[in-house]
Amino acid sequence: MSQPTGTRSFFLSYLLETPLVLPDGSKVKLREVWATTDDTPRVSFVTVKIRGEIRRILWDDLELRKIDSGRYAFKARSLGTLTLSGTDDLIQIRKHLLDRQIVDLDGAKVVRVNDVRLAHVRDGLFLVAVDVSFTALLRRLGTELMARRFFADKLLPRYIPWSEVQAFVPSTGGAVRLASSAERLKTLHPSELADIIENLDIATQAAILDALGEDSVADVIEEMEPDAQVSILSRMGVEKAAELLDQMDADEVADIIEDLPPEQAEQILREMEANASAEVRELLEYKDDQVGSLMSTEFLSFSDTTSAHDILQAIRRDRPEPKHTLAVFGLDDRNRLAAVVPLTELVMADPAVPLSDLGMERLVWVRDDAPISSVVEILGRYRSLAVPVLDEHDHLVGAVTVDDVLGDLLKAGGKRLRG
Amino acid sequence: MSARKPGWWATLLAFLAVLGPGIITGSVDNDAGGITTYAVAGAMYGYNLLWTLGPAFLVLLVVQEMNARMGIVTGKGLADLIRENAGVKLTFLIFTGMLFVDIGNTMTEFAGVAGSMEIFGISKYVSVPVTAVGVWFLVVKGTYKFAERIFLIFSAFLLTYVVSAILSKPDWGAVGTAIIHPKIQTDTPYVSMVIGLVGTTVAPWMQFYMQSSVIEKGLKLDDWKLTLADVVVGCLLTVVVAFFIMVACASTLHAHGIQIDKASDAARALAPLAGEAASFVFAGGLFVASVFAATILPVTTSFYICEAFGFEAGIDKTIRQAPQFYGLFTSILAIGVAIVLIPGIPLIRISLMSQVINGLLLPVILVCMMLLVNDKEIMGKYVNGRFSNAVGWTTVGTLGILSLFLVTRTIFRI
Repeated sequence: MSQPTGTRSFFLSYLLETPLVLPDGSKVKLREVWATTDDTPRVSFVTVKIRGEIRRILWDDLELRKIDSGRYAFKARSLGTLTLSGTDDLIQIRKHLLDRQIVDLDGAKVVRVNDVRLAHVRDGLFLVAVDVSFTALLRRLGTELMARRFFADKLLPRYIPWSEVQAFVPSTGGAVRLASSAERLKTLHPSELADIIENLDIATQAAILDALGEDSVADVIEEMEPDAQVSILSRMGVEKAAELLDQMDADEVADIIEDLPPEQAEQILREMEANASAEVRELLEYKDDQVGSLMSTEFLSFSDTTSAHDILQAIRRDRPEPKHTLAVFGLDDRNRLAAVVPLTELVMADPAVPLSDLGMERLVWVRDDAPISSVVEILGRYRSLAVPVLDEHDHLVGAVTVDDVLGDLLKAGGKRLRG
Repeated sequence: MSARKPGWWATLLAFLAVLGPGIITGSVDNDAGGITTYAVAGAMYGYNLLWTLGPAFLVLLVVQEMNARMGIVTGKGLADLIRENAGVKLTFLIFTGMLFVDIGNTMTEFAGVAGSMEIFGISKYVSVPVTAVGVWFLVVKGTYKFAERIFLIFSAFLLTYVVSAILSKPDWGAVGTAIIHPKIQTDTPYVSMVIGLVGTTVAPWMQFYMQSSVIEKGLKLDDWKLTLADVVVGCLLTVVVAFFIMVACASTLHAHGIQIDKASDAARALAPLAGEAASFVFAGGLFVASVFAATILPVTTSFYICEAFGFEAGIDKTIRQAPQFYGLFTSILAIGVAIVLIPGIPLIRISLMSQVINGLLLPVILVCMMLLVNDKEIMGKYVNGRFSNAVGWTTVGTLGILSLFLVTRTIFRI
């Protein structure tokens, strides 16, 4: 397309509804701009309405005539086809993007698109960024220039480059799909993703969870607020929810199950794997303020005759989650707790030394029905990262880590602690 | 008293929690402005206007059912849907209007706090600032769960109006006759009173509130029957409370020819006629309703403005995470309080003015709602059926005409 020099980029708001002169001389208005879904979307055509019918005009067939600052007019060299078939893979920039919520990947939050920046480079017009500033709103209200007179250069656009944007495209039937690959979303931390998903509507939530794949979904759901967990799991259906919960640690599952309506909780527990649900059911027996409700049932225990070398080998082989490796517990020949050894000590020890020769002389542990405050005190006083939990028969049933306690403190403190 | 009380409270809380969004919206509906309108109507026309509660109930039900359905199907708030489908200009117009109206409404709520506490002998220069600070802390430092629980307890307090009405010993026979054979008048004051009654029952900001709380609760289509029941109960609660307020004022104030223009006047006037207890109960109800709405209103207003313009919002967020939200909330609260505390300010004129904007906005928002709820791309197969549309458009049309009528009337009165 030919254009006056100097016009290298446009705001979508300046293009929409601009006059467009057809080959036969009649005037219509530019309705929509369609772009590909490549990494950098390229504008392929625009649509206009001629006598009630939607017609395409290829971008390359348009000739730009700039009237004055910020106002454009176009002339079409030829008209495109009538039908809109084969457009499923395209983004309608006005309908799908403008005024919609998107994820700002760099800032890790949900924002609303107030305008779209299109730039003319090399051989076409490309979607390069979205503008999320208040200035963009003023621009669309037609008051930007007036406002600039008063606030001068304070009113700047705030662009998010397209490579940092995850947009969503609604399709027929109310479903939503991602406008680009989910790889971009996977660059976010599960807790950031959890916050983002909580701020989106149901259809978009479903699209993201779908695109993330089962493994990441479990991590993300773990990080969500209880309300959001409940709402997402209840929408998922019993079977899928059970499958998902099977991949989480029992203590986290117990926390979620507790918040579900009893009937649904029971259905999900029945659908889960027998071992996993039995473990969860045991945890559900504990009262909210008891250590048992907080502990993880996953921990590392070995016979106390095992050498440091063999234990580290086992950890390398099994690759447990970091929070379960903060300390290693040694059991004697009668299966009683005999040693509590922090990972760091294990790493520094002579590889041949058995577990029984490591750790503190005095065993520090906590009973499963003790109040949570007691374990907080122990973690603080002994500067330990994990405390073993014993049941009434002195069997090792779990461990409480600083991680568990921190989460609990944050919840109890609410936003006072967070700021 | 200590052993039994927790059990009783727990049962009550569980019961109210099941009812949820509909019942809270229904209760907020009877805010200081609502109570004033019902009390004035009862004092002026006796039992004569009780029939309006029938159509008001129908309208409320139709509108809130649509809100609940849109919330469940789209998972999006009403402000969100309006912004995405109506464009920036209309969105800007609607929400600027809403901001003014809701500042006016917040002021009315604090006037309710002031008036009701004066019945108990507490100066408004004490009651209003103390309440405002309390409300601010509840929202800014509390969490959503905690706030919601408090609101639910508040809902139960509105039933004190039933006690108030019974204490006023109404003539139940006359009440029945007035409902079955209403003597409808056609003079202007009567008609504008009718419009005022219906208008106060279907306040625009409540549509936003209803839809957001359905989403907040995570309700889904499987829960539709329960949700519908919740909406019906909420609407019933609104008109039942309105009914008893009107009865209380009709059987005392109207019977003795006493005219009022503030809800707290009604409470004061009740004392010599129905006893001090009735007066205190009425004032207590007014206080609770005012605080309730004075909390929810600024929060809801800030929330949907942020939703429409893409700022972070939510009372579970911190001030640093959502500065615009808390900024708006604090400003609305502060302006509302300041207006009430300025000596000699014409409160009634100000609230009339905000009613005018309210009257203009209501049809605009209802038309937006009708278009949204009938859009197949948004609602899929859950668009309005023929029946809902007939009732819906009739409601919108009637309300639109009535509101415009009220607006013209009020402009000429100002």
